[in-house]
Amino acid sequence: MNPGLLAWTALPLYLAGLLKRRFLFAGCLAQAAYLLARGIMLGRIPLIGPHDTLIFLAASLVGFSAFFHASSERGKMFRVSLGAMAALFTVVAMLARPFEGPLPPVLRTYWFELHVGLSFFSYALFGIGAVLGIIYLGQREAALEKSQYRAILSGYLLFSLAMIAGGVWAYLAWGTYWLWTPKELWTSILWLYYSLYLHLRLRPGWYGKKAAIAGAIGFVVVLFTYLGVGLLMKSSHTF
Amino acid sequence: MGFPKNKKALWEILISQGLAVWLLGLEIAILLLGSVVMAKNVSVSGAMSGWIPLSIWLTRGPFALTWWMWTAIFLLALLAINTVCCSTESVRRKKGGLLPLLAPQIIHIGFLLILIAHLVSSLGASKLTGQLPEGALARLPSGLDLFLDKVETGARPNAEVELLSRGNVLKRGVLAPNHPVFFRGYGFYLQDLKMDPFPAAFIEVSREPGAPWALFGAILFTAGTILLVLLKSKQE
Repeated sequence: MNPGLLAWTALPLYLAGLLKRRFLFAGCLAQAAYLLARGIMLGRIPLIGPHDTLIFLAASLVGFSAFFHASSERGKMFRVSLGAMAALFTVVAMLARPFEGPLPPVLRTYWFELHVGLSFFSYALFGIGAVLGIIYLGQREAALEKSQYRAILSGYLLFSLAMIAGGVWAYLAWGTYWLWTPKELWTSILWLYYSLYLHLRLRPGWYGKKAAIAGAIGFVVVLFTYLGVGLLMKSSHTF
Repeated sequence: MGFPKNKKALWEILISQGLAVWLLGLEIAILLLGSVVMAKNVSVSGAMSGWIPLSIWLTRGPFALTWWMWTAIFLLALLAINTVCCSTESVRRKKGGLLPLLAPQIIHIGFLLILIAHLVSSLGASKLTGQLPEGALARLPSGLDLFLDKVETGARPNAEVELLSRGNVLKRGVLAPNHPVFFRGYGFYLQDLKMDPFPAAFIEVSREPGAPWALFGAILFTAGTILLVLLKSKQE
């Protein structure tokens, strides 16, 4: 079976997921199988370039959503929003050309794989946080805002771990754990933004609506750090 | 006996979360502006990408390009003071259980250690890059000699090196991408290899004194965050 077909299969599954949640997970499995097949074919972790990373992000979004199960009306909104996001990321991923070449020697290390994998897991959790925050703004159920906080705090942990893995990798590859490129600056901005969110939420009057908005805006910073910096600013990172 | 009134007011400001929020917000704004300055001045960005220590870039670079970093450092210094004061006050008040009290303080200590790491590195980091032909010896500023014994290209490019002092071999090692050799605070990195017109290696000798601080800080920061996630998952 052509692995590319598996990647495309995820799209109708995500669209069907707008109606039934189980299709979302079927789409996630299809993309996981695609990435696995691609990894075996290439002999490396397939996480280079927008094609691979967007598929990884779409699958992670849906995969992590299993931990934020919600039933009833708010569950429907959650499912529809995630399905639409995953489908959109999949379409953009399929339009991007996959990177088939071998990895440059400096990228052949578990630290790089850990750095990229954890980064996208954290982006997915921040995305889930944004979705939950937006739904909260419409429905005002405290449980949604609490779930948003849980998603963002977990994403913050994984993002911090990703930065540590990146620092160790940079130290072993270039002799320094930090490079002052626009990508690293935006990584700092993203990390500081969610640090700000976590502090804001502790402030009187910020719990609830304002925190939900701040958490949702965070995903805009995520998307700019991930895609915008690469497109608009020169950097050593090209994800 | 307590603080005089104005000192107490200053203390209240220094321990406040409100100050942390403002400083974080301003830091984000400054770094955002800095990223635009860096993107518009690629040569500056290149020099900042680890080629020279931060302190040298800051003191020798034109202020029109470095102002944002000076401002960012100033704000981080205030944030560090705020973090120390906030943690001190939290421990003094001892509200809540032991673990909920400890988790944010562990994160704060990790954060402060990472800031110290950047400070130490920006003052004491050094980098030296050069081409060394196979069979040649290079004298390093530290007084050590670096000898390139053998280079190998192909699937696993590497360079065999020896570090010597007055003709005595102190350390032997194999340099490969992502596999440096460390000796007396210096890291020896293989940047590139070539076989024409003669076999040679491009080797970087780097000193990053903040690295252990950064690693220790990062471990503490992560440990504190994991603890916080566990506690909050129970609470929320």
